[in-house]
Amino acid sequence: MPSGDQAVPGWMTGGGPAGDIALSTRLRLARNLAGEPFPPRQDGAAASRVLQRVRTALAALPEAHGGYRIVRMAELDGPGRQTLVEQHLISPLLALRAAGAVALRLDQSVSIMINEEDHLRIQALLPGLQCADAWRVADGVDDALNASLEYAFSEELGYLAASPANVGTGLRASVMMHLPGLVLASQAAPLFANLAQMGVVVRGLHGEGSAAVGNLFQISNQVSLGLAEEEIAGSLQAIGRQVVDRERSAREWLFANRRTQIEDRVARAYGLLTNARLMPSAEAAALLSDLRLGIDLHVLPHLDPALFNELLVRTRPAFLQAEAGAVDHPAVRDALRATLIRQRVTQAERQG
Amino acid sequence: MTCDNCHQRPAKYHVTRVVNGERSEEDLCEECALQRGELALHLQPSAAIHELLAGLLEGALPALRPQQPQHEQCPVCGLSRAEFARTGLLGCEACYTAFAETLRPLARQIQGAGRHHGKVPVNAAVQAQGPAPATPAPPPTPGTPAPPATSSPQHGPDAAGRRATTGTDDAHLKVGNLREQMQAAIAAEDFERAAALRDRIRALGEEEPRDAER
Repeated sequence: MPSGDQAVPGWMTGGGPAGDIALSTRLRLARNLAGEPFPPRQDGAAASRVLQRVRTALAALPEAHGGYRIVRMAELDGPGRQTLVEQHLISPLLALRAAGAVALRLDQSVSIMINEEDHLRIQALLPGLQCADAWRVADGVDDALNASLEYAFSEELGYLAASPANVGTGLRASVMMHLPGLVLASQAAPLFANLAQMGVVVRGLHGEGSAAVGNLFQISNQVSLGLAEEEIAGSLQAIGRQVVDRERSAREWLFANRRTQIEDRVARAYGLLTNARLMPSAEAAALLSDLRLGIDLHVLPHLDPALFNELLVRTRPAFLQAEAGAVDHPAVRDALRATLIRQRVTQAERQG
Repeated sequence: MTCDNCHQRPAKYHVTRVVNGERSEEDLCEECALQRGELALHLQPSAAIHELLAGLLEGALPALRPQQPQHEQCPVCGLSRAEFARTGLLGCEACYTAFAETLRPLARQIQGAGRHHGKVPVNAAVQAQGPAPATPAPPPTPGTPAPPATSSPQHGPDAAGRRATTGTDDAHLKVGNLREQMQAAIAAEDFERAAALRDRIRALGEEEPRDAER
């Protein structure tokens, strides 16, 4: 696969509003073309037809929309697809669909999945907590495509999707959050239970429930019908803001009341990350979370927070494999991962 | 028990596969299971949603049965009701009409609302001219819901090219816009403005959204 794919995507380089805690915002719109069977019932010819129509529509976009590169799943090998999953540019489901494709805007702020569960899944990806902006980006792409593609739509149920769970706006917004403070202060589970009552779903990025590996969580809206897009995006933004505030308070509390334990935790993580010779993926995610907490709490003031974001992506199995070449053995990968982390952390220290 | 693939890490997943009637079983660790793609579905959150949906459907179907003669199959894509109940996924836009009497309460149940309130595609005007009118005049009486107005699949792939901006289309789009503005005004509790917008919608010859339905 082309080397350009090895870049850490823009949304993962850190920054953005509340970017220390809200790592990224993703907003997707589910759309289907009128007159075409939905992907779960598509044959090969129907899938090619949809891809061709989307290709033509993308080629006709005004220049201001930036260029798109279309990658068909059939062109990629397993690790190639997995890398796109780890960059959050495609879903695990698309990676499994032979007739699937993705159109990536060259700045990686927009990824359009083609023939996933729906014909189109338009995704806007922005760093930090930016639900309203993500909506504006996705809305613009949606309008531009709709100028040449007719969508399946009903006045009553809105945009029709393969799953009735996605009808209406077809919108799902999600914010990826790093919440070590809430987890360490045992406040995550009760908070998530309250959020569930407000129609907000919390899911561990790696792993399940409130015991997510690396303290990374996706917070997203459940309902897509009956509310306007701005309302959905606005309410997730407000809720995301509150979660950020609570995480900050939890960290303050921990630093004030459990300072030695926190400093010890951070120092241990630092020690392992800069010395270990074999580093499995899950352990890396957990230790990197502790490292990032240490950076944010100025226990490790000499490290750049963006290092954490970068390593989060670069230490995932397929990404590592794609970067290092064909190493299929887990033990070799663990050694490569350990080396990569050691080198990057030491480099960052020298620069700082 | 160690993983059957790498023989190193402890096995965490028991994988049963049936290919062409041949059954095979394996115990895999997380890493190997992921690498083989065995966890892909497990990791796909919407798969779980579909299962839940299918469960809802099974529960809901008998209770909803009476009423009108129901389609057992979508006339356009051929998806059967049973298959929909099994997968929770629809086959094409016409399924929404064919299975309307099941989908309407279902949408309400999983979404907490029954009617779309957001963006309207620029192609909406085209569909208003299709065989399924987008503005049904009589408000449906409780218990006998009308099928949702879906876009017509007969439009075919080149329908967008045929989108003519006739006067009717303009009026329809305008009404759509006005409705959106009215909803926004209601949401903002600006009832004076909402009433004015309602009057303008009426003047354009269309009724206001049927609030009774929500």
